[in-house]
Amino acid sequence: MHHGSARTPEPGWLFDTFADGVYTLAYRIIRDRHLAEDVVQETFIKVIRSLASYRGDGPIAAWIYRIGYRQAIAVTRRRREEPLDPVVVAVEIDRPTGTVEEHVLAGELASRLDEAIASLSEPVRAAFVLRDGEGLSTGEVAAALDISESAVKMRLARARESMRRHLEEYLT
Amino acid sequence: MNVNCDQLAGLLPEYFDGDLSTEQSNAAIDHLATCEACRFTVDELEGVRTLASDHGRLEMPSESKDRIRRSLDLG
Repeated sequence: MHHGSARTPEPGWLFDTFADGVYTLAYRIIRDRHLAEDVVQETFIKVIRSLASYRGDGPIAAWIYRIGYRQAIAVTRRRREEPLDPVVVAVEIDRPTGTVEEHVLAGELASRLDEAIASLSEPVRAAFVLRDGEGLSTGEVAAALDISESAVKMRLARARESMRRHLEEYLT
Repeated sequence: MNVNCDQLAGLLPEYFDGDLSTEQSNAAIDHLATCEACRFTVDELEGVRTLASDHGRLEMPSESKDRIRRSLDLG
């Protein structure tokens, strides 16, 4: 997924395109919806402020996720100092249509997926969310997380294997 | 080039990213054609990717998006 452009991208378009992705990444790291929303806000304040200096010489997705990732990590570091609230498990249902049974199954799957992703170590989780969830390329994930492509591949292999074990019943 | 199960496991990250050389890709396909256990593993890992992209993405509540949009002066 490449969103790079030689011209300065339009802030409203960037927000509409990446807000959910940054929110997903932030939530997966922090596991608190309100704090994840704060990360989205802070991320786009920085994105809009720095847009003039963004030279369009790299994938813009990686640039935005990098800012979001750093914000989210800063929040988790601050939270480590504080007592944790009980974790609220996210139950996201993509479409509000379908039968009650479909809703229950979608909610159960989302909940299991949430737990499985949360069980990954934080660096492994971020790579997995960006690559397999948000569809960034390996190079973009490397740029967003400021690590090498081979480190991304190692983390992905670890993440996929762990997810496979956790979600076995949904895979066959 | 031939690969065994362990070697195939080492090639899987590149296999999923489509980054294998033609020779490696052919060797992976040849191995998968004859090894049911590796096919099973690859199918499950493919399933993990599909689950993550189809069900792992969250949507921020629209009222929160509107609030942030307004605070950023995006209309």
